[in-house]
Amino acid sequence: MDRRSILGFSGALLVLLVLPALVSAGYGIQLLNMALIFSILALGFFVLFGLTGIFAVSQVAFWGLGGYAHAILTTRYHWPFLGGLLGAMAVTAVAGLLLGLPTLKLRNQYLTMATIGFAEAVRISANNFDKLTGGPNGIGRIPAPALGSLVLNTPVSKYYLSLVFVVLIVGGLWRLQRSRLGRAMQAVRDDELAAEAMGVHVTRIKVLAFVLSAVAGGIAGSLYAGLSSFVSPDAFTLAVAVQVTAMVMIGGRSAIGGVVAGAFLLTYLPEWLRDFKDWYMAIYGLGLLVILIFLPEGLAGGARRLADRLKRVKRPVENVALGGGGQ
Amino acid sequence: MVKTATLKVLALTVIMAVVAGCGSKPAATSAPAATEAPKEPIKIGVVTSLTGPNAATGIQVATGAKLAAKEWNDKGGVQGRKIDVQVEDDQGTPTGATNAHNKIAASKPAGVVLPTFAQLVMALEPAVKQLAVPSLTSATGVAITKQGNPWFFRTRTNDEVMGKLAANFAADELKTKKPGVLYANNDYGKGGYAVIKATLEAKSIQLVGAESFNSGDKDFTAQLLNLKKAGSDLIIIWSTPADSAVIALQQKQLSLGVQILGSPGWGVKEFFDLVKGAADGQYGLVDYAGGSSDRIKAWEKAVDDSAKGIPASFVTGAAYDGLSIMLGAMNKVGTDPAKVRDAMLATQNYDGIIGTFSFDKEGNGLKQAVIFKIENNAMKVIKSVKE
Amino acid sequence: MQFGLQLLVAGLAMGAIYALVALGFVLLVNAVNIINFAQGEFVMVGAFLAYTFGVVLHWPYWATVIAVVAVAALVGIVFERMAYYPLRGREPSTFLVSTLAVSVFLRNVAQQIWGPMPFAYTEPFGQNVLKLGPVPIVPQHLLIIAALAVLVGLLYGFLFRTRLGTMMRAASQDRVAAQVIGIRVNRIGVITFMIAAASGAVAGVLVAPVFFVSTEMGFGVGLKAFIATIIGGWGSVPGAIAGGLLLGIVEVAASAYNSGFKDLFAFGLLILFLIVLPRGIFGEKIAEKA
Repeated sequence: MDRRSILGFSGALLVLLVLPALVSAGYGIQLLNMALIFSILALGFFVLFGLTGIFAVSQVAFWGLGGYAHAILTTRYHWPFLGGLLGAMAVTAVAGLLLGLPTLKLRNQYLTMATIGFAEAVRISANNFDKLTGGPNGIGRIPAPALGSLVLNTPVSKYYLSLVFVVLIVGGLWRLQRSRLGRAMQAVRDDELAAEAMGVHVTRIKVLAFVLSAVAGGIAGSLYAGLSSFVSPDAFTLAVAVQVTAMVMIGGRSAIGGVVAGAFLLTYLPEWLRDFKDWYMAIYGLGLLVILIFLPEGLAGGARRLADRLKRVKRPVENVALGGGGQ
Repeated sequence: MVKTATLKVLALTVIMAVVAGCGSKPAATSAPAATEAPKEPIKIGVVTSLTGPNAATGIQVATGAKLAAKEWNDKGGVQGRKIDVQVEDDQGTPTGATNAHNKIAASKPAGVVLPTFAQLVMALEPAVKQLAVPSLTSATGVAITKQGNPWFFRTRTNDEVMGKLAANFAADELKTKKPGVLYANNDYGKGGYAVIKATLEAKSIQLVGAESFNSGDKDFTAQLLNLKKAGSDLIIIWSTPADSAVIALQQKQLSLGVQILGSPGWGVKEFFDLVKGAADGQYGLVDYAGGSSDRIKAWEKAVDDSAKGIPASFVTGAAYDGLSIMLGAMNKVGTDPAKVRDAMLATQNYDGIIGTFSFDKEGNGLKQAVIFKIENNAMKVIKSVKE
Repeated sequence: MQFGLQLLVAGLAMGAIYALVALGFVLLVNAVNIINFAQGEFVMVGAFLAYTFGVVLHWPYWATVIAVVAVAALVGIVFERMAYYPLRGREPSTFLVSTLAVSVFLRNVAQQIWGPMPFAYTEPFGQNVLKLGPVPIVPQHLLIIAALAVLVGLLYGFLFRTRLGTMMRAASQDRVAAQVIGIRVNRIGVITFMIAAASGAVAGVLVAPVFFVSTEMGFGVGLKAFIATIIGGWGSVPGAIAGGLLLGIVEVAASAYNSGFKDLFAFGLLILFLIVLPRGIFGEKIAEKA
């Protein structure tokens, strides 16, 4: 990492560290918590879509699987928080593998459809396997996250817990993007045949991307279960899957910082618009569209262009993928 | 490359700053107004679906609550204080409901009206406990008032009681020998199904079939025909109004010819507006059968005047009655949450629009139903039943 | 026997509805090569317009249909200018988000215009039922099937027998090359969306008596139509029909077998189908672009 990136990363981290002190205790902190959880979900999707170029709409399914795995392990089997988290990660890793392997060969709309089918199948199963999942009533009374004797039962402490994961994942992705593996992923994204010709094991890379994104979903699910202490099928609908997709696209699909910004923006946008009352969801739809139209490379690209203009310096256009990730 | 990184940091920081600024707004704006303490309005929060798949029902909650508040305001308020109703949309999702509830919590309400969908209310359970003010709901899921949460007040007959009353009527009056059940595959339908099955089995009547559907389904042919094939002499259908209408239409078009006993979804105006006579001859049970007295007719007119096109249903009525009871309690004892709760729990035989309310220890206010037969696309009340 | 026959009729009726909506997908795939997740919202808009013209204004059925088509075509133009034109040339995934954003917009605007309560629209047959031997047939279902046949004929003829249709398909295959040989691809885009919106709206008029009219009626049927398009073969007109009918029958069969897990069967079948037969029943008609 170069000096400036470190500076930038620390700057953003500092803002995120002090944010809880600046917002209202209930509403503000809850939104921040959700923004972080959505950031983790979106970062997982970033591995799949941004890095490897696989457009799947299944991130919500892994979120749900992780949430339910955590809920079942901690309430029924009284596992500690970390056990629930690891369990959620294990379940989603296996699920990612199971979804990734057979759907590898599918492209574009076929993959979109297969992953929508998978997401719906997970939600319907949660609704119908009452004995395991509590059915439509969901599972409540999920214990607050605890690390040994330290119980994180306030929203602020849960926020910092999620923040730790966001920082770890952002750091990990930063490394990944610049590693051999990350370059192989981007090669698959840019031209699968060429990548294969260069000796990249395309199948292995794709499955790995699926598993990594699924595990991120599992972590988000686990944290969500700990945050809300309640999971039910209604939380994991297709609408959320699309929201996560939009977060990555609107943030800037190839920039890690942009993905986090996209997750924050789409968590907050409907809330800001509440004052428009009856029309606010219509305005939300329009808002999404406007961002999509006017910021083709997302928030990250938009910020870059804005800064370029401010500096009045013409720079050659860089490969977004290589330039991305500046937190 | 390096510049890119910095710029991105800048952008992110700006967004964060905006985020932070906006997030802190509620805290900042709720601070003033304390200057004229005695006349400060009483805040009532309403969390309900104004958008999304539940909007049609959700808006009725807001309509009923607003009407109750308006009537108290017209009378000069509660202990001279105006009622200020704040409605926030839950978008029909647990996350949306949590956000809406948090937003309302930030303005320190004296009481809250919760969504009428049990799964959303269950998602809000921890938040309701934390806010610790009396919270009304017309959701009928049994689990809500079994949480040991002292702040829930239910303003409708719960599924357990309603299911029992339905099964009793089916067995004792309709003399069913081979009943079948068709239920929505959600908390509402499944809850009702479990109670109906248990109640009938206690009377040693076995179900010949049980079928389910997903809310929003448009074809019920297979389920209805399966139940007919199984030899049902009565089908008890547990469904919300929109689905009920499609089912009612299809059973007629299929010439099913099996007697139906419908859930409260079969006893609302929106249902009759849609089916246009397709449900004639069927039975149903509902909390509230509408326009029987002058007082209720006047209320129905008031609902129509306050919100065009929103029906004066049991959902509207439950929110109206619930908030009227709550505001009445506040008028007696002020807004201290514990005192309001005790006053509400002490409410016995309150003659509301949708029924006579007497709260039990768990906060269930209503344990009654009206059995009706559908004739000429309207409800003809057969009798009132109590648990 | 009668039981099976009635199930088959119900499955075909639902399948015809899915196929009807799927035609809009097929058209857009052939002309601009995008997936329009708001296709179901055109159905919703059509049904609400039918309610306004037919029930509120008491227009006769034929006039209602014409008015719905005209207004829906206008909606199609606006839609194209919002969700497609500014984004043309971007990767396919962009349109998932853009069309869904417009879908949220349309649903909420409809709720503000027509209110949240559902409506009944029973034209032209009311609640009447025909009897075919022991099997009751809903005449509206026959109308839907007839309309499907007519629309398929029109669409097929249009895409493969007219100059404009050929240009559309050319523009879809390669936008730039089409432009080079003098095809005005932007105008073609607008026309395509007008037709897609109008055909969706006609489907709305036709299904309103079966589904009732509500803001939520479009999304589900849109998703099912998308599935039908995939099963049938991407961009294939006969595929959309085969896919729609197959899906309708599978759903009814699954409901008859185990109603609680019906959708699980349907989606499971879909995933299986994609794995075994990834190009659909009739094969993919649109060559994949690099």
